Amino acid sequence: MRRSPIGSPLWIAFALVFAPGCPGEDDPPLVEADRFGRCASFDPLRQVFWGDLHVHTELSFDANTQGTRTTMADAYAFARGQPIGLQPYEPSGEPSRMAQIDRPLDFVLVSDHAEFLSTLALCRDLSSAAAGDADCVAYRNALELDADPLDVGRFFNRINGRLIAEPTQVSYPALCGPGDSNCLLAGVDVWSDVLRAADAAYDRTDSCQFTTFPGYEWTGGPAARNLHRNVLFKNASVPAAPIGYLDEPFPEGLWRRLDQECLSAGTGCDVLTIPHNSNLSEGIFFDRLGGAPIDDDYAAERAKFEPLIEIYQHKGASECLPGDSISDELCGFEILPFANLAATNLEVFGSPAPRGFLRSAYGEGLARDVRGEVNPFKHGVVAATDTHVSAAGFVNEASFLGHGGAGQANRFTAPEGFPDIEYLSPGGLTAVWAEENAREAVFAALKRKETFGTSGPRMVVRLFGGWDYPDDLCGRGDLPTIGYRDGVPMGGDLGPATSNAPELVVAARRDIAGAPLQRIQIVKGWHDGTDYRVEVFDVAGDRGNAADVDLATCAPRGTGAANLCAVWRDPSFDAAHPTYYYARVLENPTCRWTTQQCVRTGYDCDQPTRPIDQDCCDPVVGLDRRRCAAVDCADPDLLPAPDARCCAPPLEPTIQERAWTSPIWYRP
Amino acid sequence: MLVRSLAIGAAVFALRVGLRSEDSPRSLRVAVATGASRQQIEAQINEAILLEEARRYGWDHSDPVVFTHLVRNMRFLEPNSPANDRELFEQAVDLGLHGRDPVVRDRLLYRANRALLSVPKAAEPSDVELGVHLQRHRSRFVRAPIVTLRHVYLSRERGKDLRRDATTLDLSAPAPGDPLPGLGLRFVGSSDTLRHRVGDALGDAADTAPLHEWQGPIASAFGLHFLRVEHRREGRVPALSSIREEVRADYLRELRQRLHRQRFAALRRAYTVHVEHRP
Repeated sequence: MRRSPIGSPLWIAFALVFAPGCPGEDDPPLVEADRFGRCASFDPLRQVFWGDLHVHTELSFDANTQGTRTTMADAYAFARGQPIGLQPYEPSGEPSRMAQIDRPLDFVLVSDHAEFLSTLALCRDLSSAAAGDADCVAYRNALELDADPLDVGRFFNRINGRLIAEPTQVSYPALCGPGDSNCLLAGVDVWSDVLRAADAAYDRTDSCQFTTFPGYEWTGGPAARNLHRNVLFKNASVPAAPIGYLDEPFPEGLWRRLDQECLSAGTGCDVLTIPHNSNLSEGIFFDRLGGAPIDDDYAAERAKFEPLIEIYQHKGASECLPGDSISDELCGFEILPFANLAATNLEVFGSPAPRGFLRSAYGEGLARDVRGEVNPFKHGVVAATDTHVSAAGFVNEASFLGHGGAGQANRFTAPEGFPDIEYLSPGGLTAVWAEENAREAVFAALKRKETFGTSGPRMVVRLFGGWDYPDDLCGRGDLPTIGYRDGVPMGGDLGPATSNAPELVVAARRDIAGAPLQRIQIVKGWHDGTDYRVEVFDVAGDRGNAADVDLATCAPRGTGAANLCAVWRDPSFDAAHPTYYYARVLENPTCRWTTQQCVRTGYDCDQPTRPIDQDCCDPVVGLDRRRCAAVDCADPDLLPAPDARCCAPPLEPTIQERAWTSPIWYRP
Repeated sequence: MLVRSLAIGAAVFALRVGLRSEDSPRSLRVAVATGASRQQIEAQINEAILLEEARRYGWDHSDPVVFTHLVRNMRFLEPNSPANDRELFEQAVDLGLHGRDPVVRDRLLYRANRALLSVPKAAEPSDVELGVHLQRHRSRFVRAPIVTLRHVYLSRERGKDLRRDATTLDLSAPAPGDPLPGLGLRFVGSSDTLRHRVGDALGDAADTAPLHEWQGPIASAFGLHFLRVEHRREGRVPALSSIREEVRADYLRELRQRLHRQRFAALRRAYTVHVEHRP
């Protein structure tokens, strides 16, 4: 379907209002109402805005028991460039560490876990009937300065265990009283605080400096198989309370309630749910929970509510898994060596299931296209941090302080070695192409999937697909105009074929604070009626530019590009095959955060006396593998602990930061 | 988010702080280490006053967190005791544990400070008060200046031709130049946004270039840029109706700090403190 914003009456009207020269006369009044087109910076050809759609504060149960004391207001302030304090806290209440983002974000979703929002509030209310309940007492004990970390861990596992119960067995804790009414009532209060905080931080003036969305996380994980989804509302017209796993343990139940209490409520409410960490689902993420087949009704609901998926965050990447026919040599980026959430927490190594990765889901969707069924897996792409210390958008590898959550809590002592578990990482960012930085426009961009995710840097990527783009489009300043006029942007659906093969035009600009670009790739997936296939094409840049990193200093070596562009025509297109295309943009190699911290601290593997030395000299980290040359990994359980680490899945000391666009789709 | 009982206790605490300042001064002895700095002495005095007030309210006996903590400690000390929780708590009090335990101390200080920070419902600001607050602290709410400019970019990928093309570029006619993703032919936004996207040179030029005159070439990591600033809008403070929630949050933050100072000052006036220096 072609998009043509240029010819639309709306664009024409705004072009007249915002034509050069007009603002020099009467300045437009500051607009109070939240309506489309209110921002001074409005571009009908859309501009890129950066955000984090996955942030936890002290309101989340896991963050809370880990010592997070930063609030929603802190999260928004951090996103706007203010420093915040991080745990561990001194007895005086002062934080022992400070964090600050390098550049402000444009939008944020604070997505605290819906489950136990109300329970924690109830336990803290010393006058409530639940205050004396054993779980509430244990919770308050767990918050004490001298709490035993083991006790805290046991308590956390006992309560959090409700989130890994099977859907037919979920229940609120007994302290919630008859009909769970105590917790439900307390939850309404907390939810109104969430809405109020989001509203206070949202810039409703025409400066449009910062956008917030109310929301939360639905935290379903039967048998520790991750099925989590973030719920993002367009505005403050929302259901009376967040609908969590304990309320609706099946995703379709969540969608049904959201339909009833939001989409069909007649209040102007709109919502989407963003799944994440399919890599930790043991491969069930794209199935229908409960085992029923995916029929078209279910598929349509899923597609309606879940246009997007989080492809990368603190707990790893979910693009593709190395080793099968649909993978490529770059699929090994930040792959966690764990199969599910519990394995991640307990560091029990195992292979993630291939079906839990997005490229596999895309193929299942194409198979449904072949059969003439509804495709629920046409996900657009976002990335996020999943920070549990309110540090929204804190993605810089060099200054990473840990995100808590599934990672290191840092509650009781400041980290002397790595600030987080070495397999985890800072996470990424979401970029949207929207006319302005306001809820209406950004939400619309999310819904139509004109989004891309990055592994942290802010490289800018534009992707259009059409049937007849001019070959010289990369050299023309009207690239976006032509891109929209003669095709569809990322996330869109190509119309019927009007030429022999589709053409994609992809342009990328490096992050001024990041590394030069190495290349742009187009990942093509198609289903030929029998098999699902994937092929990756280098379309711009130079994979052989020999750029690398001096591991002694993390200084980059070699050259790269400031911006790249290509008009690429599919050389093997078959109009009978459903197909997708997405762009992957790669920077030159840089040091991973673990390497950066080791280099900065001057680690010494000859005399590893400090905790940081021991962390850096751990063979897993990839900086000192020589000591493992003689270790026999046939039976790691029989090895002494230091040698057994030689057999753990190793990390690469360098990475290639990247961006992934939402795919463009073709259906015959 | 204050818990309801804390709020009630805090309101009573805060109310009585005012009343107590009119009573005859109370006496308090505070032991400080010899050589302690003035700042350290002040901190210890402040803490002692808050603890004394918390105990006068009986929080060391009634607070559930204190209760469960002392009971837990007693069960550790006497694992085989047949006494129930209340009896164990009383035993802890008899032993003076509630006066010496650091966790109890921290809990009481926490409650006392929260009480001093509590905002009564009647203090919810009106629009008039918010308007006054906004005017008084305009700098906190000012929005960044916005610049409108036209932009022409020549990619460094032009190689050796780049300088030549920059020299021969005809800016009198609409000249789109090369595309630069995320920075179109026209830009409306803050100079900081330009700095973050393209670099300091362009951001600085957006701030300083005279109106309606092409500037350039300006070099960046991407190539050469020409820009023409067409309009600048100075930073401005929005109307209250646009930012009411933001102003309210800031007002309450300040109010809490002011109430804390006022209430604590009243407490200080209510006490005569005798400082004993000990080695």
